[in-house]
Formats: sequence, structure tokens, C-alpha cells
Amino acid sequence: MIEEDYETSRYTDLIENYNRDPLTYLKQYYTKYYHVSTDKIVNTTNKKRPLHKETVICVISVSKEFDSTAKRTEYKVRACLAGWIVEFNKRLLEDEGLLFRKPYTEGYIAIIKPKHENTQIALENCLTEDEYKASRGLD
Amino acid sequence: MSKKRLWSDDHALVSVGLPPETDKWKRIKIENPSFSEGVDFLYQKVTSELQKTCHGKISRDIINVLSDISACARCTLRFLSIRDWNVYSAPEELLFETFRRICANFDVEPLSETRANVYTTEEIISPRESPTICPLCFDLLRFADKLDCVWPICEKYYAHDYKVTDFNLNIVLPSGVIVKNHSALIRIQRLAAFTGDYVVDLKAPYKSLLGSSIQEALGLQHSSGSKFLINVEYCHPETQENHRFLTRVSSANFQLKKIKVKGKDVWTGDSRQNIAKALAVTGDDDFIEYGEYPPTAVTERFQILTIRLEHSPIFVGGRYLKLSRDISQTPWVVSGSRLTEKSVSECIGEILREKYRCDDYNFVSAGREDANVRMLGNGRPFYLGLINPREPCLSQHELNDAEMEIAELSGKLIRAHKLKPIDECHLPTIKTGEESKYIFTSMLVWLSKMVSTEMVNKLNEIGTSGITIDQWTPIRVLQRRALMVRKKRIHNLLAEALGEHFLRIELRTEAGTYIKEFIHGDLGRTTPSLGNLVGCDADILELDVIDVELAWPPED
Repeated sequence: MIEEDYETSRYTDLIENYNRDPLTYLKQYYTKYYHVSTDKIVNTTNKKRPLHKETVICVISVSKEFDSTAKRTEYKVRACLAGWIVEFNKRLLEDEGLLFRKPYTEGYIAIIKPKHENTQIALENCLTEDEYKASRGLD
Repeated sequence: MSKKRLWSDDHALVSVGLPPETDKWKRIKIENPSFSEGVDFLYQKVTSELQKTCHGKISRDIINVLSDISACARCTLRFLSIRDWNVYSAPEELLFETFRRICANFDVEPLSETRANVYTTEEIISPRESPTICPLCFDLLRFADKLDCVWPICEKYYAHDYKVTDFNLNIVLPSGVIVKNHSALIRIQRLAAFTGDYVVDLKAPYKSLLGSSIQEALGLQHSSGSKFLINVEYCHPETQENHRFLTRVSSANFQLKKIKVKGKDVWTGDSRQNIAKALAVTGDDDFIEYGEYPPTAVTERFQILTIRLEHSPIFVGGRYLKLSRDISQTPWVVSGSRLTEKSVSECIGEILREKYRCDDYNFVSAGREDANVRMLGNGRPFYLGLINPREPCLSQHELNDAEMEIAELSGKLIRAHKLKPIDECHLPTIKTGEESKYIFTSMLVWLSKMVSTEMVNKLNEIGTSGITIDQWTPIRVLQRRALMVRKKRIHNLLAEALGEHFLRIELRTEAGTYIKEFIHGDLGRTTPSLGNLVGCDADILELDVIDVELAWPPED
């Protein structure tokens, strides 16, 4: 009989980050990629979910930097990767606010299975988080 | 470590040569007291059998027709509709003497004394006086109890060093015999009033004689219920196309089709079954005109195409523990490279494969856990199907040795215990009973809120009565499972504070529940999640399976 014992001290560094920004835990499952649409108003993020380089699946949502107070009421959201739509988030039908309140968790727009297994090819039209932040002059 | 998938190279084949004292034409002695009596006894036996099926002159006519085409004595017995296999094992010269006497009864000229066709018991045939080959069995039946037929099988058996006590036989005869025998039957029917309803097919006496010979040579019991199968396929290139003429006979309804197999054009439609069916509906006149009538002589003997020895699968089951967070259950390969060095199925499978000396193995378990999840407690039930084991029966002592070797091979990270042979009827238990199976898990959980006593109490209160959750297919498995919602039951939940932001959670859940998704919510697709219950974000840091509740291995 092997007793399970959990050494919480192993995780002190990890939870420091978690406590600063509660959504940091998502980083172990998802990597954010950004796409800026041509009219420079709508920003979408593709969250790539790599399972140890296994098949990749993408979750599409609106980035936090999106200005929700803008005047327009209708926007076309581009996924900017070739693939198949696996799911549309039906929760948005009941609670539209989710889209902006919780863009990276419950408010996602859709889930797409990319056509190319290779991430570099699949997301060639997108910017990594560092590239995006540099282009917008954020920290 | 990799799963070996080899065939004969794998197990050291014992090289065996022909024992020096054997004479190629020497018959294998079959214990049969009746033939120490000689030809009189044989004559009595045969004539009493003939009373039942071939009355009077018919037997003489049959013997004459077959003698004209140089059929062997045993094939003659077949057309005389004799079903006593012991009679078939008599020496050829005795059988022909018996036939002489039968013909003599009808005051007709006896068969010629200078039959070139007879073998004497100890005769060694020199090429000059090579007797003619029987056109009805290509000498298969004639040599069924000679080393020609038996030795190649023995050789293969010794080479693989099977440890068995009985065997079953599966024979595939050359396709040419069908047309040849049909031709002989029509010939007899034209010259004698003979329906041919009771003519014995070649396979049955051949199997009986070959089976007895193998029994004698290898010391194994010939039994139709045996798990060890000897498959022999014979061919005869000279006659293998002799059914082609049927395509030109309209009444035969026999057509060949050309299909593509692996890119190559292949003719099909001429299976032995189809040939027999076509001959059954072909009129005799058509056969005589288009086919081979009367049966012509052959210049070559039968050939052995393949001999395949196979033992039916043996099943060994038990329970396994996985103490590492870096070992997958089955080999995990992505884009040609391995993601974990070891796997449970290989650690157990390779050890058993060596002990049972089998070609391959299939690993089946009651559910599975991720590579980074430990399997503790009593372990997870599993079984292995071992394909074509050369040593199908291992003792409990040897299985205990296997358990130790598995622990050694995995650096004590994988344990298999309660290993025992499993009867085929118990196998479905592993996969059924999904609804009634309970899974006990323990995990380390992080919460974004500070852990408080009220929170822990609230969780434990909910946990006593349990909750039902809705789980949409987790995002991490969406590429291979259908998008659907599953209702799963969390029967019990136990929470314990481990620090400001840490909880230890223990769950008793329905089989098939995605534990990790219950904790972090999977972007809101599992509701309610643990995070929902305490009103904050949660993540799972470590997960262990404590117990899989399933009675396994089964009691005898």
C-alpha cells in the first residue's frame, strides 16, 4: 500500500504566480496567440492547446485588450487558421456578457481543430504573445 | 524499450536434423494387431463392409476401373465406400491381394500379377522402377503414414519447441483432386451401375492416417478439442488449373472475376467450394466433352505448400500499480517519437512474452489513467492475450517470478500482482460493469481563494450526499471523442485543508468521470466544478487513483 502524500512546498513558486494573476494556471494547458484584424479594432486570441506536441486544438476568444465601449455593435470575428469548427460556445446565447467578462475561460467563442498538425504552419497568421505585446507597446 | 513484433526470429529455433537411422521409405509402425493376422483377416473385414454398400459385381468393376487408371489401393478403398480407417492403414500389397480375391469371386480374369504399382513393406524404390503416381490423391493418401508427410511437421514442431499434450489437424488438399476424383466417379458410373453416394472423400481418411502417424511420432493426442492446431496446406502445380475448363461450360455457372488486391490483378472465384459446386451442376456429357475424361496420369507427387503451427491464445490477468508520474499505460508515440520511455503494457507484456514464448500480446485493462497520474492501492485490473504461446502452461511459481521481473524491469515503478491464467469466459468482466464500478481518487488542489474552515466544512457536507455533474467532452480529448454531454455521479467527496491555498480532495466517483475537468472546470464545460462549489478558480496539481472497485482476477 503506497500512501499518497502531497508536498505543498514544491509548489510555492508556482502559486505565487497564480496568486498574482488567478488565470495563470491556464498557462500549463494553453498558449496564447494573437491576431489583429485589418481594421485594427477587433483582436482575437487563439489559445493553442498542445498536449506534449500531440494534436493541437484551438480555442478562439476575444482578447482582453479589446475595447468593448466602441460604437459599433457588429463585428466579424476571424479565426485566422484553417480547420474545422468543433464547437460554438452556446453559453454566449444566454449570457452575452461572458464574452467580455470572462474572455479566457467561460466566454470563449469557438473551438477549432486545425488542419495542420504542425503549430507553426497552423498559426502562421498569428502573433505570439511577446510579438503582440511589442507591436502594441504593452509591457 | 520497444514492443517486439517479430515472428520466428525471436525465439531461438531448435535446429533438428533427420535422425540417422530412419529410412526414408520406412513406414511408421502403427500398433494394430489385426494386421499381424494377414490377408485373410483383411479380406473378411473388407468384404463385410462391402455388403453394406457395393453389392456383387459392382465392387469388381470399381476395382478394375481404378486399376486401369493406376489408382493406389487406398483410393480404391474410398470408391468402395469403406469407412473403417483401420483398413486403410493396411500395407498396400495386402490390400491388392484382397482386391484380387474379390475379383476372383466373380470368375473373371484376375488382375495382372505384374502390377508395377505395388509397394512392398521394406522396399526401397530406385528411380528406374518408380511406380506410377496415384492420379486421385497424388500419393498423399499413399504416404500419409510415411515420413514424407510426417517428418516436415515433426521438424517444425521440434524447431519451435512447443510444450503441448494434444493437437488438432487442419488440412487443405490440392485443388486438383476435386476434378480428378469427379472424373473417376463418372468413369465408374459409365461402366457399372453405381450411384456413388457413399464414396469417401479424400480428406477424412487422410486426416485419420496422418493424425495417427503424428500421434505416434510426437507422442501427442489427436483431439478435435485441442487448442494446438497443425495447419498443413498441400499443392500440386501440375493439376492446379485443371478446373479452368469449367468457365467454358455454360451449365456449370462458373465464372472467374478479376479484382485488384494490393494494386495487383488477381483472379478469384475458383475456391475449392466453388469448384465443387460447379461440378455438382455440370452435366456428365459436358464434363466428358470439356473436362479431363478419363482421369489422366500425373507425373509429379504432391507438394507441401505451408505448415503452420498455432496454439490458440492464452490469457493472463492480474492488477497493476503504477508508482511513477512519467510512465504511460500503453506506448505513447506522437509523430514517430516516444513521449514516455516506458509503458505499463510493455513492462508486463515483454516479460510474459518471454516466459510464454508467444508471438505477440494484447493489453486490456478496466479503464486507464494518464501518464502523470499514479495508480496506487490494490491496482487496476487488466489481462493480456498472449498470441500463439509455445509454452501455454506456466506454473504459479513461474508467474510469481514474472511478477518480480516486472518490478525489476521497471525499477520498482510498476508492480503486477495476483497474476494468474484467466479462462476466456471471464474476459468480458473487465469491460462491462462500467456503471457499477467505483473509482477512488486522491488529489492536491490549488484554490485562488484562501482556504477557510467554512469552505472545507461546506465541501464535506456536499460530499456526504454527493452531487451529479454534467461534463461536456473535455477539450483535451475532443479530437478523438464525440462532442456530447455526460452526466456523472460524484458519490462522495472528502476535503482537507493543506495550506493557505491548498486542499487535499478524495473522491469516490462513477467510472468514466473526468476528474481533472471536475476540478478546473474546463472553461465552464464541466458544471458544477469544484471551483463553482467554492466560488473561485481551482486547478489540480497532483492526482492519484487509490482504488478501482472491481473483483478481479476472478476466483476459480
